[in-house]
Amino acid sequence: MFDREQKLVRKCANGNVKAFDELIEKYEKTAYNIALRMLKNPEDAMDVSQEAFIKVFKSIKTFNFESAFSTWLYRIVTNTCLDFLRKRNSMIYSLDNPIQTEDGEITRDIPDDAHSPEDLLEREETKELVNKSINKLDENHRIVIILRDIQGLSYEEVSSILDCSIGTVKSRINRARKNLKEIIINDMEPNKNYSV
Amino acid sequence: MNCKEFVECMSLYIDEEMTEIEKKEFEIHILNCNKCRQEYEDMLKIMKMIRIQEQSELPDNYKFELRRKLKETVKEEKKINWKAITSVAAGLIILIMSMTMLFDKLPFMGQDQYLTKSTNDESPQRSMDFDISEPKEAMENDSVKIKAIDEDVAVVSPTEDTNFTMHNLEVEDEEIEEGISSIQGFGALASRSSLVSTRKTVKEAYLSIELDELDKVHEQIFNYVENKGGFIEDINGELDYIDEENSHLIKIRIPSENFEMTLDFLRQLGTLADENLTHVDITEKYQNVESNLRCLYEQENLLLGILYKVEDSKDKSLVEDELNIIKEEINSESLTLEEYEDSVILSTINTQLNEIGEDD
Repeated sequence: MFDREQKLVRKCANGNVKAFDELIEKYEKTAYNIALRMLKNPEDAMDVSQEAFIKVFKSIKTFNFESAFSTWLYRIVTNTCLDFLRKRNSMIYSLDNPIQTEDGEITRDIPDDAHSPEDLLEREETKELVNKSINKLDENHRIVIILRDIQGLSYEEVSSILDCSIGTVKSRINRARKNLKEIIINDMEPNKNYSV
Repeated sequence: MNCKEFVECMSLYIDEEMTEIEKKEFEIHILNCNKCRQEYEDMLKIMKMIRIQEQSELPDNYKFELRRKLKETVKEEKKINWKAITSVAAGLIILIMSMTMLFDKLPFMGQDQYLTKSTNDESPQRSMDFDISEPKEAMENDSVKIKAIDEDVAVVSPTEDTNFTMHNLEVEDEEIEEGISSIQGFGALASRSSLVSTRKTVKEAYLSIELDELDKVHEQIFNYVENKGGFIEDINGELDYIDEENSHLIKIRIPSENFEMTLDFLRQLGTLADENLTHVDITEKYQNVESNLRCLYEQENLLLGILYKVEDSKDKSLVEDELNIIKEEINSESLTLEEYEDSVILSTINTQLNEIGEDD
């Protein structure tokens, strides 16, 4: 009968902070991770993703359900990240700057299908390699990889978030993946074995 | 499909964004072209590598920081409003007091003669007007017109039901805080008059029907109700062992726009033995709860703002206690409102089905 999210949005439009808390809870982690991959460090990711949430709260009265709430939210997150990057004028980070994993170490939280210590290490090294390579992409390519391949959003959702046509999304994804592939292949060390 | 095209649309194939024909062409090319097949397999590997990337957990203090920032935002938005309120309240209270004195003696429309003494150049036909600069966004609505405050005359533009709103201005309060609550009350009640156009009615019916075969009819009812977007809330069955007569009471909830037609359907299922219809208008009750809720939200916001300003921990816990009380009230009023909405949107039909056995 009543869409729970619709109800919460209405309450938030009345200034109800508690309703907002509940509304965004399931989106916090994704928003943070989008920012983390775009901005490449946890402090900025926290600041910028929270800035985006505040923007959402302030302008929630203007939300008219023309798109899904999540799409609207991620659009604000994406734009806030892009604005931040442009302001900072940041180009490619130095090659030695790693992405923080959950606790900064390599050895934990390995998925189950690795069988031996060698496999584990290989898998981690692969992840590191891919991480670094994604970081090297320019922001327009990076965002589509993040939204499509890492967060698993559909072409439609991506086009709505980036406010561009599906055709643009298709070609951007294609080019982004091609670029990424080249970067990865270039950065692969010749003796190492990378496996998934 | 040539190699160039193949490379261009590899992503589309991987993401299954291709038509059947395009897919076939793509697959044929893979079979025939080694170079492209290698490209494709490399790309698949890359995709796999990307997809094993994991999401990081939120930092420990993430939620805490976010809530803090939100409260600050709320507080900032209220800060500006406080200045507006206090500057308006002073002017308004004077006016309220003078209005009350006038209204005690005369009905509203007979005002005009008293106005000439204050504004000589205004024509006597003009009724008294109020202007309030809008203090809180929550009070924004169609019936209170918003104009910039005029320094010389504080004035309010009349709503559709002027008698109704004027009645509310009889709040004779000297203190500024109470002046503020009268603005709130005014705003809340003024907005009520704009909601009058859509009444909220709860429709309920009781039907008692005699028929031959209960089970068959059960299924018919069930399908019909589902079809019309409703559901069966309850079934109570009774078996009379002596006469071997079955009797069921079925509580049907059906969207109110389908109420009449469902009644028609049910009546023709058997012989109608008894019928009772009620329409209850709960608009007033609903609006009361709604405006109460609005006030509660505003109080909550004010308290949040105060909470942020307050330094002393004893004061802080006092405010927090108040806040908890308000939150509980908000929850309970919200629940009540939901229940009202529910009962309006879904009408109730209590249908007693009596199976009449072969007669003795």
